[in-house]
Amino acid sequence: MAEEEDNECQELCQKLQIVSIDMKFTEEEYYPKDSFDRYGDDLCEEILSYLSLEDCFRFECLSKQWQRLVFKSQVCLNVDEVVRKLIIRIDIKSRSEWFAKINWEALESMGKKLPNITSIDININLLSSIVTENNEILLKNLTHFRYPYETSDGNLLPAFVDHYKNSLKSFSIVFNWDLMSAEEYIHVLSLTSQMKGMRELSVPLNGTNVWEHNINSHTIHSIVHYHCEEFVNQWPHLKRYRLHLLCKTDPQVRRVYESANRMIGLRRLEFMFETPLDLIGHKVLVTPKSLSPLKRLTHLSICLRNGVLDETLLDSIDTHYVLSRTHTELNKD
Amino acid sequence: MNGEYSLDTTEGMAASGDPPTNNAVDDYDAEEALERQREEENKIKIKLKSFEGGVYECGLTAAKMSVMVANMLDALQETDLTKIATREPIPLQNDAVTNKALEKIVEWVDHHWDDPPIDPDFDDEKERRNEELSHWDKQFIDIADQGELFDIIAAANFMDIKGLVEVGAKHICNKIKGKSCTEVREMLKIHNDFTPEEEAAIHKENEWIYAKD
Repeated sequence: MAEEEDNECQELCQKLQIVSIDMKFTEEEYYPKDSFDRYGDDLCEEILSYLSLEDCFRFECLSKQWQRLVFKSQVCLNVDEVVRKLIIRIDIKSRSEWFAKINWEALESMGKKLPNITSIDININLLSSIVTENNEILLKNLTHFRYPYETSDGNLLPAFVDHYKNSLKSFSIVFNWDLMSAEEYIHVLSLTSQMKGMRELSVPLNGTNVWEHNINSHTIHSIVHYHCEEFVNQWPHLKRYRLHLLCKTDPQVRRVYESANRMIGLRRLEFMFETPLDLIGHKVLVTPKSLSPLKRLTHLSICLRNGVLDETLLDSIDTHYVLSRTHTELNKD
Repeated sequence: MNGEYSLDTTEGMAASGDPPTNNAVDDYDAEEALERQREEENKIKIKLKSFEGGVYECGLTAAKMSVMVANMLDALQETDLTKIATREPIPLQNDAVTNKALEKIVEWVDHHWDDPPIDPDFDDEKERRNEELSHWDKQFIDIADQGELFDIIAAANFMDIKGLVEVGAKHICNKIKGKSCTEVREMLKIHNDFTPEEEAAIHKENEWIYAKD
């Protein structure tokens, strides 16, 4: 009985082999071994995923298979590639500056062709083109977005926040303090805190010599106060938080630093404090103990411009339980 | 004997899903132990059989870079690994796995078996994609016979060797980078199945991309 089954099995195998050889012949008629057409969609897509975006656009018309697959696995827009073609540069010769304007049609066509774009990293203000005047969102699947804020974005931001309230994971918004009021800064961050899907927030400052702009103490005070009292309660969902802030005095630095302990979900915390020149040599006392409620913290970075961090911070890190395995980076500038 | 090899993917591969330990010292020791184990295992040679019947010998750790082979070996549930060496060769039933292709694939895994594993803490897919091929890989994949090159990529894809498919893909994309459509069609022998009207429509859509700054 067992033998019979064995024989049957062998026969079947032989038949199957014949069938597969036949298929090979018919396939070879259509797809020679050295033709790219021999590849199925899965492998073809995998190979094409290594093309640059510019090549993707050019090769879209190679064949129907390429058209179907070439944009599928592109997930990231880089400034250096096609994106710069989206910008129409208008040079103003008399003044040595230029304005950037978005090529709307191009962006729209791109939004349609690249459904899987999840990340944009660009140094020009793109919000006004992602959100149209009718509050329509052109790129719908972003998970990472970084861009410099401009005051004119005030009306567009609500639509953006509304669309992305659950899906945006990482957001970086660059502010220019000398061009905006504290109220606006606070309003924008409060608004973006409605994006509950967000896990990473970066708030960098624009410009290097921030103190030259004479930002008034009241603005600084209001923003510091907001970060300590409201911000830390608005963002319980953050895992990574990077803040670049102007502080006039060392109590301000301490307050901001200590208030972070209310964001208990944090894994990474990076502070960069811009302090004025008169704080040079001044010791700012911050202790890891005040961050002890952050039980999941693995990365801590504190950078203090013009001030000195008290060395006991380093000493106490070794003895402190929670931060003992924390990667700590201290810039004692 | 041959029938014992199966393609059951539900088994095996459990090791990679283990929860990570948080203690850095344990991690370090565990990594070292794993490295030693991989080194020992690679001294065991197993045999792979191409679609054309050619048999090639290959270190066990190297062979396991093929997820397909690793799954087949796991399905055997053999505790004594040295016994694997005396088994019948593992048949690779796909017409892309020619003698030439398998010979090259064995050469590649034998060179790469001790590559460090991807560190999940710093796994940046974007960075890895943009990384240039190593000098060795470039020379390895620079194959004049395009049929053979395509066989190797298809075979690596069939055997599920992610790293080798990536090498092939990057090589092809490098070769066609910046070329015109006509050139690429000729080079990769791609049949143009668009009507002239359809092709013109695509060109018009993408016009902005060719515009000069």
